[in-house]
Order: sequence, then structure tokens, then C-alpha cells
Amino acid sequence: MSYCVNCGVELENGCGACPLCDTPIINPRESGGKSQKPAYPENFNIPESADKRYFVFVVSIAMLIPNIVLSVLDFAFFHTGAVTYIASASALIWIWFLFPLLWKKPLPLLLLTLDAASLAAFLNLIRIKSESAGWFSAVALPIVVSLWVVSALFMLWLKKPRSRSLKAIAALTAINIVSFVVEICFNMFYNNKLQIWISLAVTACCIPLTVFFVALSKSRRLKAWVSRKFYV
Amino acid sequence: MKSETPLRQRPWYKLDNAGKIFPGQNTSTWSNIFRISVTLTEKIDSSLLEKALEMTVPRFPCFNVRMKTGFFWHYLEKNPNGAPPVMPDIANPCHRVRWDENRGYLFRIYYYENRISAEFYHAITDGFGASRFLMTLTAVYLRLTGKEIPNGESVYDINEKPRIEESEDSYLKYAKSDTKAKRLKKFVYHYRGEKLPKHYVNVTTGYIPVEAIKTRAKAHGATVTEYIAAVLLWIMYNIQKEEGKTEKEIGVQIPVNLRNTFASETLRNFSLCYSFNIDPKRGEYTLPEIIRLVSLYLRYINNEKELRAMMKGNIGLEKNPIMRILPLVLKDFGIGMAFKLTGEKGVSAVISNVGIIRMPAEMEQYIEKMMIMMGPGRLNGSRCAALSFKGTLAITVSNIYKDPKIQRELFTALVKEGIPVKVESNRNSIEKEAYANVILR
Repeated sequence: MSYCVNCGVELENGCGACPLCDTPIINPRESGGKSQKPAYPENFNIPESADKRYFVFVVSIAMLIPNIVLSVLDFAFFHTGAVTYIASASALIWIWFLFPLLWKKPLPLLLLTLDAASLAAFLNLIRIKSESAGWFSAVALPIVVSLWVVSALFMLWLKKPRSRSLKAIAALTAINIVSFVVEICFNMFYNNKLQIWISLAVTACCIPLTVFFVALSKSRRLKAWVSRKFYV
Repeated sequence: MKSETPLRQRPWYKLDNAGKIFPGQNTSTWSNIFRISVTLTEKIDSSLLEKALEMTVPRFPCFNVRMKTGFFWHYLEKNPNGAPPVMPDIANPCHRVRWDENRGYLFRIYYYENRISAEFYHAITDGFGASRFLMTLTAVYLRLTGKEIPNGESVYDINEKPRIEESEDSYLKYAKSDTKAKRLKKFVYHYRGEKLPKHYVNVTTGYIPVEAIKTRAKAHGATVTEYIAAVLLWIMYNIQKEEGKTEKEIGVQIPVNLRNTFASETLRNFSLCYSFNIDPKRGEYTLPEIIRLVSLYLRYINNEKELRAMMKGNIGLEKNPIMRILPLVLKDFGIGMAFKLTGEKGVSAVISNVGIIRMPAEMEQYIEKMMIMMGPGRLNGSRCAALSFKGTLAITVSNIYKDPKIQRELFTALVKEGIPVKVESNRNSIEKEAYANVILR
């Protein structure tokens, strides 16, 4: 019999390392002796995952049927063209929510890019159908692009484990950047003026919160005080 | 394979009060499963084991079932497929259950070298029922190998007609109280480590001389279960302190076998859980202090009236008219969400002690050891199960974390207390799989 010199527990015969602390076990008296079979076999049974493709198939059919019916009705009787909006909105929903389920190992950045591109295409279709120019390139597209850039950067930054305080600071910064882009785009398009008052108000709210989270990440004492004072 | 019995002649059971919750908790990667194993002195013959299983299953009608989906509730129906397959053991026990696998049976039988293992879906039974089934199966198997094994204790007579009391829902019978116990749970501390890939589990069993742990527990004025529960609280308390994060309460859950209090012979679920928390914000704790608190709390709370009120509370949910008329899809969704959001959040550690497994003396000589394990929690790092057999207490800790920190802390804490521990684990198999680049990514 062998004992782990680190944990003090008795181990199975022929055990190469302690299963609790990985300390190597060398027992010269056991080396020539009969080695015991390990407690568990080496084969694993990994159950098959539920096939999400069937779910996607069923929901896709459920989405397709009303679209086909509406298209036929619109083509035959109503002639409004409204079905284009419904069909494109269905396509957008399909890309956002069902397409990721077809992937065994989804690539978040690629899916985000696809989501942003499909949203931009959907908005562009509305522009073409409504025959109203200007708002797409001046407002919609910059907002979609800024949302995509900020989200992508956030995702890349989150690849490494970050503390809660840092995550909160990054989220506040992202909100701030997007608010500036949105306000600038709207004001430039509608008033042709570079006004950023609302965004500055957002910044004014975010700065003290950011300072608070920075202090929280730096000071263990403050963290302990906050956890005591505000625990629910 | 037997043909289907006509529907009108096919017996069916409602799930018991505890069992109604479990199907809703299932996910694609997790089900509430537990395993009980018996290691014999001889190598297992799989064909004899298969024969023994076919002979044993009809004696246990509440296990000879498959899960069916009704409009309002799941229910159990007699399984026409004879017996589940006997399979070679695997290194990742207690993986999720599916209604259409394993010939529809809700328990699985494995063999490895000298060991027979049975895994049960918690919706059909608890540790008591499972141990009776496994002991009877083992006795039948030993008889087929030519041993003289009498019936008695945990070994049921397979020629005897199953008694109605064995299949009753004892919760309904004993939930007689004018008041309901409150079920308030606070969110407590959880150890979170780097997770193993899904369907993998880290299992470690510690074999401890009962006398050694009993003497130590007695020195603190506690029972073995109270003592282990307190040690678990103590190690979680220290791990949280080490991490230096926000101090949360630490809670241990202790399931109790209600058959010890109420005269029930049921083989279906009949247990309830007590929870005990300590709050580190109230000051420093020492191990003897925690042992004393756990011990006093359990002795104060564990009484017939409290248990009846707890049962009444649980039954109340099942009998609620709105709950009853909700379609099963909504019920399952609600139960699943409630479990995800609050289920494990209120418990830092679980210790379920099945107690001493007794069997005829003629059978004991052919059995080397026994163990019981709970499937890993989705979040909980320390789900421990224990049983005693032939003067040895087997405590098994299972979780889904790569680093066996909880296991290490628990068993080294016992060693430091002067209690000898012998460990065995499936980590060897996990490591080999890791070197084959399957799970090291």
C-alpha cells in the first residue's frame, strides 16, 4: 500500500500519482508486485447531443408556411407588396436565432458579423421599398457598424477572463461610445448640427460609475465594505 | 423481446411527489442520476448478470417501468421490454437519461472487473430503494454462480409477490399537517473551477473505517452525518475565505430517509432535505463550533411534525389547482427555469448518507466493498453520498471541475482530524483521455 506524502491519504496499488493532488507516487516495493486494475475503466460513454437541426427544420417550416401563404395571397389578390417586409423580417429572425443552432461549434465573431450584415441588408431593403433616401447611409448604417465594432471588440476582450468590475467598466464605455455615435448621426441627419448633449449626460453618469468600479477592483477593503453594507 | 401488453391491462403509476420535479429539471446534458455499486470477491460474469437481472426486474414493479408523457404530468408505465441491457462500465458515470434509450428503463446496469453498478434516475427511487434492488440483484447473481444466499435484510425474495406498500407514494400518505413548512432559500457560496467538457465527471471515493470517524464525531458530540456535513461547511468556508471574494452564506443540504420516522416500506422516493447555513459575516467560525451548530440544528429540526409540514408544503404545490391544469410543456419549462435560477443556488454542498447496508451474513463474505455516488450538480461542486458496509464508510464526491479541490480539501481535512482515508478515483481515466487530446483543448 502507498500513501500520498502530500495529502496523507492511502492510495490504490499501482497508482502513478495521487488523484487528489497529482503528487507522483514511487513505491519501490510495489514496482515488482501485482498491479491492481484501476477503479474505473478507460472507456467513456459520451451521449449523443440532441440534434438541434430537427428543431431548426420544424421551426423553419413553421415560418415558411405563413410566408408562402401570404405571398400567394398578396400576388393573387392584394398586390400591396407588404409581404416583402414580412419575408425579409422572417429571414432576419431565421439568421439571428435559428442559423446559430446549425453550428456544432459556433464562432461568435462570425455570427455577429453575419447578424450585423443581415440587419444592414434588411434596413437597406426597407430603404429601397420605401423609396426614401439619405437616412440609411447617414443614420442606420453608421449605427449598425458602430454596434458591430463595439460588440466585436468587447467579445475579443472577453476572451481572457476579466473581473466583474472590469467587465462593468468595459460595458459602460461601450454604452458611451454607442450613445455618441447615435446622437451624432441623428443630429447631423435631422438638424445638420454636431450636438452631443445627451451623450455628454450619459458620460456624466458613466464616469462616477467607472471610477467606483475602478476603486472596487483596486481596493479589497472597499469591496468588503460594499459587500457588508449592501448585501441583500 | 416481449410484445406490448394491451393498453387497458398495462399498469401505470403516477410519479411520486418528489419524482414529479425531476423530468422538468432534465437538460440535454444533465439529469438527476445516482449510482450504487457493489464490488464482489470474484470477477463478474456478464451473461449470468444479465440472467439475474431478468429474474430480478419483475419483483420490482416500480422499477420495471418506462417514462411516458401525459398532457398534464409525466407518468410511469410498465415496460414491456423485459430488462435493461447489462453494459460494460464507463469512466463517466451518471450521464443524462433519455426516455428512448436503455430499452426505455430508467435505471442502468454496468459491470467492471468485480464490480456491479446500478444507476438510477431519481424520479423512480431514492438510495433506499436502489440499495434494495442492487442487493437483491447481487444475491440472485451469486445464487446463479452456485452460492447459497438466503433472503432477508436488503435482499428481497424474488419468488414473493410484490407488496402494494412497496409501490405506494408515501408522501401522500403521511403529509398530514395543518401547516406548511416555508421553503425559503438564500443564495449561497459556490466553488467554481474550470469545468470538464460536458458529460465528463470527476469522481473520488474515500473509504474510511467507521469506528475511526464515529469516535471522532462522538468526541464532538455529533453523529457521523452531522460531522461530515460540518466538515463540508468548514472546507467551503475556508475556500471562500481563500478566494477573498464577497462573503456569502454557506449552506449544506442533508437529505433524510423518512422511513426512519414513518412506517413506510415504499421503494419509491421517500426522503426530504434539511438545509443549514452559516453566515461568515457574523464572524469567524471554527470546526468544533460548526459541528456543534449543525448537530444542534438537526436535532432541533428533525422531528415528525416538521417533516409532515415539509411534506405538506411539497404536496401543496402538486395539488395546487392552477399547477394541475397547466399543460406539461409549461410545467416542465417552469420547473426547469426555477431549478436553473434557484435550485442549486441555495446549496453549497450536499451530503446524503444512506446509512448501513445490511444483508444476510452468508452473502457478506462474497462482497468486498460498496459505494454510492450522486451525479454531479450543474453548479454544485460538492455533491457527496455515503454508505457504510462491513465497518467501512464510503464517501463519494462528484463534480464537473477539472481540479479536484473539494475532494482534496474534504479528505485531507479528515486525515488532519486523524481519520485514515483510502481514495480511488476516475481521474486516471480522465488524464488518459486528456493526453489523447480529447478533452485538453
